[in-house]
Amino acid sequence: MQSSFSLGLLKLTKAARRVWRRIWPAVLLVAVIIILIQWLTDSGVIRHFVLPRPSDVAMAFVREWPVMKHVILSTMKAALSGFWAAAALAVLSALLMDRFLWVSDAFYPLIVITQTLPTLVITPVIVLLFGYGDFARFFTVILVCFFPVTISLLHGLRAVDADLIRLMRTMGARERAILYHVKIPASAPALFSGLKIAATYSIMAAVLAEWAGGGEGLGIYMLRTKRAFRFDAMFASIIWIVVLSLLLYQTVIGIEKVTTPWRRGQARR
Amino acid sequence: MKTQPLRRFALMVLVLLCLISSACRRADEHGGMDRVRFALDWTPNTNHSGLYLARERGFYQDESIDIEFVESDMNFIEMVASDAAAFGMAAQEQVLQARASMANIPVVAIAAVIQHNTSGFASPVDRGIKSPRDFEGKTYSGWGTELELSILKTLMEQTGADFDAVKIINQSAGNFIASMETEADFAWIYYGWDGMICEQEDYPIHFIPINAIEVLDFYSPVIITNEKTIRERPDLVRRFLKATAQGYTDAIMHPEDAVVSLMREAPELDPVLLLQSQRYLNERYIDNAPYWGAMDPRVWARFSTWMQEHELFDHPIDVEDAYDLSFLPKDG
Repeated sequence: MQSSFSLGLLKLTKAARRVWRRIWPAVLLVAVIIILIQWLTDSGVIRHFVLPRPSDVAMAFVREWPVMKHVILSTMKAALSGFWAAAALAVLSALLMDRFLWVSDAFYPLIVITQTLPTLVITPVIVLLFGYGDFARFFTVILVCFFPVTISLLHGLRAVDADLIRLMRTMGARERAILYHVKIPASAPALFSGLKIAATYSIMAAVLAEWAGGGEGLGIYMLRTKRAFRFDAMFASIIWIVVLSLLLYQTVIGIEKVTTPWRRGQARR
Repeated sequence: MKTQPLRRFALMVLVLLCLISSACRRADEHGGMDRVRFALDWTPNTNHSGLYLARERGFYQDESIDIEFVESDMNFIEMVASDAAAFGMAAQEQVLQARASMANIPVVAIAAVIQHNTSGFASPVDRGIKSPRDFEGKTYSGWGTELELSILKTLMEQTGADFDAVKIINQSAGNFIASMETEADFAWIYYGWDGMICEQEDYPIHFIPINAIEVLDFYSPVIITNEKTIRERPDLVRRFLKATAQGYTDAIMHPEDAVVSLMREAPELDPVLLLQSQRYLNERYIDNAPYWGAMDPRVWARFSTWMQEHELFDHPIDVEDAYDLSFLPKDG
């Protein structure tokens, strides 16, 4: 027992060292930037109503937690549920669009158009349609996250090796078998790159929806602190948005690792 | 072996669907009470303090009203017009503009929150802007509306200044002080909020109130409702205004309590700023009017005419449809 525990620990520190070897340049860069901003704001070159002092932001981070935890939970719930719903819908529609050309011909232009609508303008309309509250926010996240996943997966499905499909057909495979054994495994990387993009959008989409009246969370918090001139707290909420988006992004990578074991060892980046 | 990941994937999709369906659950109905939404025009602030205090003190409950405040700057007038919220807040110019728009948005003002306009053009003292004449050659940090330019023009013409000599930009800085420090010389602010912030930040400004010109002393903000609510539930409007008037009257008497009730709803705000702002507004809610909420038809008529003259309407309107004075509790 003891030895397996220490072996596990050893493995963990080894893994940590491996991670550190990759991320230290980024960590160093961020640290330098923060120190630079601290110096610029301390010396008054940048006034605090333009950019707050990083040390004040750090303090706000701690001080604001009692309020922050509620708004984070609210925004996270909307972003997560919207993200997953968008993912499920996107997989379904990409499969249909791949299977039936007419579905693709009908919906593809429309899907592209939804992406060209400026989100800031369209969210108030969504709230007008669905009313105040969480559903409008949920729907906004779906609208934003649906596109990258659908397009990415669709192109993944279409890029599957045509020879392989022909081979399957000659061997008498039915469409369903081709889908299961060839298309889905081959297009999984494309699906996950779409999901990664959607994950980074989802929190921001929820925040935008809140500005238009779609429930209360980080977006409302940000607006209120900004207007009360509490920029340290406002920046703390911005950092939270970054952290949460990265967390979601990492979760997608984690799921990718678990669900596509055959790609372990292949380059994923 | 190859289908293993697929099965896992299918399971995941199933879990997601469960998550989605739980997210879509709807709220319950309320028994016995009128459930009413109030659409705020901005982040909760001292313009709203009477509403929050009225709720906290149970004045709405006494009138069998269960009130919920919802906030968004982007679509509050449309939300009230479409009855997604029965009541809301807006400025007089927004009510008029909504009614005179191509969309004929049917909102109606039912009470004035503050008797006189508290907005104006502010500039840091070092820019030396003491009268509208000094706007010449300076940079104005605007919101991109026709209305503010017309107001600016009216103020400047009064003193014989040349409006075309003002450089106009759209504000890109996120707040008044940052805008003054980085891009412009003056901007349109509400003294009760941005003015208070400047006092708090020790940022000396010169302030030219627009109410110096009678026609520009319009109501901002007013409480609004929609034509449907007035037609179908006039009793609700009356009860709502009774409780609201009580709330504002109490807020005037107990500014600290008003701030506490605001902070309870919006803990992100700054209590010191709120109290300062509340004290500033205290004598201005009712001012020289006989009771809270009173509106003078002449204010509506002359400002509407001014807006029409400055081509701010898509089509002419009957200004008397834009407000309704019959619901106010006149005994104070």
